[in-house]
Amino acid sequence: MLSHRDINVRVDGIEPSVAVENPSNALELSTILEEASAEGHAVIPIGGGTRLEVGGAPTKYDVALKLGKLNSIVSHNPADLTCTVESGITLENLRSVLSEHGQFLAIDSPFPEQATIGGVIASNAPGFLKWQLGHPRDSVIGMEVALPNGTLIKSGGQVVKNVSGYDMARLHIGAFGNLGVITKVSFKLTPKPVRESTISIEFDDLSLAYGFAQEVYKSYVMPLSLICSHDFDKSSSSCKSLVRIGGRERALKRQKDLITEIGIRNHSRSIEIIDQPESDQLWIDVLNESVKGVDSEGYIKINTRSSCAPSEVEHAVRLIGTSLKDTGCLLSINSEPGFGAIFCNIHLPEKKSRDESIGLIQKIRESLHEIESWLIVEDVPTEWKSVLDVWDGGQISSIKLMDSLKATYDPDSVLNPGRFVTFQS
Amino acid sequence: MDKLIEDLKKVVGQDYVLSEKSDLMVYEYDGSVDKAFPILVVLPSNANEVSKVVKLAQENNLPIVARGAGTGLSGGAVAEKGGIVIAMSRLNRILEVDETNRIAVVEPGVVNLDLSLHTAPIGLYYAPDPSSQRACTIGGNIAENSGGPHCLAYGVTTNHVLGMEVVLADGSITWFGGKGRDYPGNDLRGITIGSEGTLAIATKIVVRLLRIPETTKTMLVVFDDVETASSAVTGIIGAGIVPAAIEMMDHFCIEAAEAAVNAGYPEGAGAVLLVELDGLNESVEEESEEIESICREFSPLEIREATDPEEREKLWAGRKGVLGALGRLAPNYYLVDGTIPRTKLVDVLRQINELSERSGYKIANLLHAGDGNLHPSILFDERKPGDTENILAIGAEILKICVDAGGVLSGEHGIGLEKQEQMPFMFTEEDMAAMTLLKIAFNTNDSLNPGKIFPTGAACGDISQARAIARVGPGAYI
Repeated sequence: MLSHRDINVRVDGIEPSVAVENPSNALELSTILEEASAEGHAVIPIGGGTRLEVGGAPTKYDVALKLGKLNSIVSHNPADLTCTVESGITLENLRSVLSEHGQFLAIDSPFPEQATIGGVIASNAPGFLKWQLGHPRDSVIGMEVALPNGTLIKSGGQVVKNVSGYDMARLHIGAFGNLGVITKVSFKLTPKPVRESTISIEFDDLSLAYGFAQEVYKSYVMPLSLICSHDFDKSSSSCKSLVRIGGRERALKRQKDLITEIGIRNHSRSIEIIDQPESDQLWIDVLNESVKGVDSEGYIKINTRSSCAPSEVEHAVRLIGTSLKDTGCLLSINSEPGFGAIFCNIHLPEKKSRDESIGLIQKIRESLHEIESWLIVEDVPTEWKSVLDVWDGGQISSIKLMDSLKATYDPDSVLNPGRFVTFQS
Repeated sequence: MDKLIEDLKKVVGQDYVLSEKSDLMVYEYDGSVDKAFPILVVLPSNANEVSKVVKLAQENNLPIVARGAGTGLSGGAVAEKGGIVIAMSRLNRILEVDETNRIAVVEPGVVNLDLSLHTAPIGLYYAPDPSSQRACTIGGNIAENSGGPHCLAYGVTTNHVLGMEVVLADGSITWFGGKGRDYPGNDLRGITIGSEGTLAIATKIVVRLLRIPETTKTMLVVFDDVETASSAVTGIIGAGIVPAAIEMMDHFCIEAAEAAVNAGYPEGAGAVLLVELDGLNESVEEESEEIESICREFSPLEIREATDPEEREKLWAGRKGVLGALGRLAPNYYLVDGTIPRTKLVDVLRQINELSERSGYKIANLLHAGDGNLHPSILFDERKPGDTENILAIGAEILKICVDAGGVLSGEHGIGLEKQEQMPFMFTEEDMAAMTLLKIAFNTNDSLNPGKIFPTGAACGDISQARAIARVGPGAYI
């Protein structure tokens, strides 16, 4: 069964003790899982490997289950605005096929050329397309999943309106392959806007940028994306807002005019309009950067994500900034004020002890808990994970029920033991 | 039983436990063909009371059915196994409207339309709009993951509910999701929505509100036949336009609507398409120009447009009045609810027509055409012996046609009692076994709305016969 060992399947420094499997289809995958569970092996499903460091460290890891060969488009009928794909297809490959038909999937992720659909869905990857088009979960209309014992089950369908049995796909979105391995996903698609532009607006400080964002939120404009980006390490307090808009000619012009007006009214320092194709690449770069951050020698880099009410985003950003003030940390934040999401890239000085650094993270968390927000640490040195709950699980209501789901669907802890929030120590 | 009644009265108050047969009759049925008497009906006024009622029911081994307005069309609110019906009509408060964050916190008994009316003065509305929205409740909408004509662009209930406070089968109170958009952990909110009251009982619901668009425009386009109208729909979607709604009626519906509300459709109208666009003035203008030119390619008999609310209402009048109007064509109708990929519309409608001719029963087709949700209405006379059995069998056959075309058993009415025996059309034993594991994970002991969704194993004939005794409801909504 042992085929080969591969650095790409290393999770938190641990390699699979038994095998690396690379099935070519769902049936093969099902057999592998069936055997692994019978043997009592622990399995970690792996898509593009862009988010393997996210989550708790595995408590057991025997088989790496690569999904990369399950990469076909099962069906795409453009006139139905739906598609079904195998979970190992990369976001970029799916995008390029859909784009030929003037369509797109309202889900984005860093590193789209590597990240797979299954991985993006299972790990709730960060993305900036949520303002108008909603949470990635809203695009999923059906799913095929291999249960830990290998049984392939399906739910939902290829239609956008469906109340036929339980909406089982919900169990697996953002669930880190904790209850099953996603093998196929059906999506509802969105027509690509006829034209798109991005407006980049700089402000002298945070309040102006968030004031601008609030005013856009209240206007009739429905941007595809709107983010505010702010670096706390720089001497200047400037903040940049990027607004992505789309539509037919007159609608796009009206939106540009409205956003420019709102920008000027909020004392923008500069306004730049970027059209396609530059604007397309710009969003890929921004998303990649938001995760990668800048390389800084002498620092440990971590990524975090939080969510809160849209009106609290500025407050939350300030709380995070204040918690790290004068600590020698570098902090850059991208937020989605219309959706209520905050992504931080934090550089902690290496000279700080682990406990000191974790203390800072807990300090941020405590301030966020006050405003009903939370902080997941997505990218953190493995050795911290034994003392840091990366999920901020204390903030999750109904965690007992999540444990019960795990105990029911994966009683032998075959899948991803220790990595998801429901892990019972 | 007397002790239980006394205990329940202590929880909810003397007046809010119903046990007399005459009182229980009101809770015997919903909008479907099925009927069953609960043992008791309890009307709690808050989550704590719901929790205590659930605990008392468990102590007495009685099943629990949560009930909204009872407008459901698949038997979801029918107490099939008897037990206690928890009626949500006193949990009907809008607790909070947060204008800045565009959310509302409501109790499950709030009537769908009442929420939108309440928030209209601040320019916000709740998007899912089932046709029963004047009566149905948000809690019931959650149970059935309800849709409505406007879910083409805006999505169904699950896309608009951010979180809920629920009472679990053991009586404990907890939250799934919340006021934010994103939570770590399993999406318990999502798995509970559409579970037809079998996993948990919602007692507070956080919903997303949308801004009322700058402009709304309704277009009514009349074609010779449904094939042409369907091609026009495919053309519109193919051009990259997703209108807020696209509704279609066939010639039977047109005939009925014409007779009832004098909609003024032209002679020879074989299909009426209603298209609604909303958004920025400019985008509505541009898209309506394009839709008009697409429709013109299919030689429509007439195109009417309106942006003024009153004028728009007139265009909708025929569509909204059609179900009531079907009564002019036959004493009863049986409304079927399936969804298909919209490109299969012509083919599926042809098969339904063939079925109609073969069986001798007229079938009027009313469709949410944009999202492929079909509502064929089989016209019949329940007084005629055998008619009810026949139409139920035809309904099942229509659903088979839908599933074979790549569609599903229910677009928005749910499975309930109505379609449970048809679940194997779509799902394998393993699929359904994986679904029922959820009841174990939620530790419901099958006490919440038992006997629904999953096949009972009863022969189809028995069920048809049982249903034949029941009423098929005029006044049903879709």
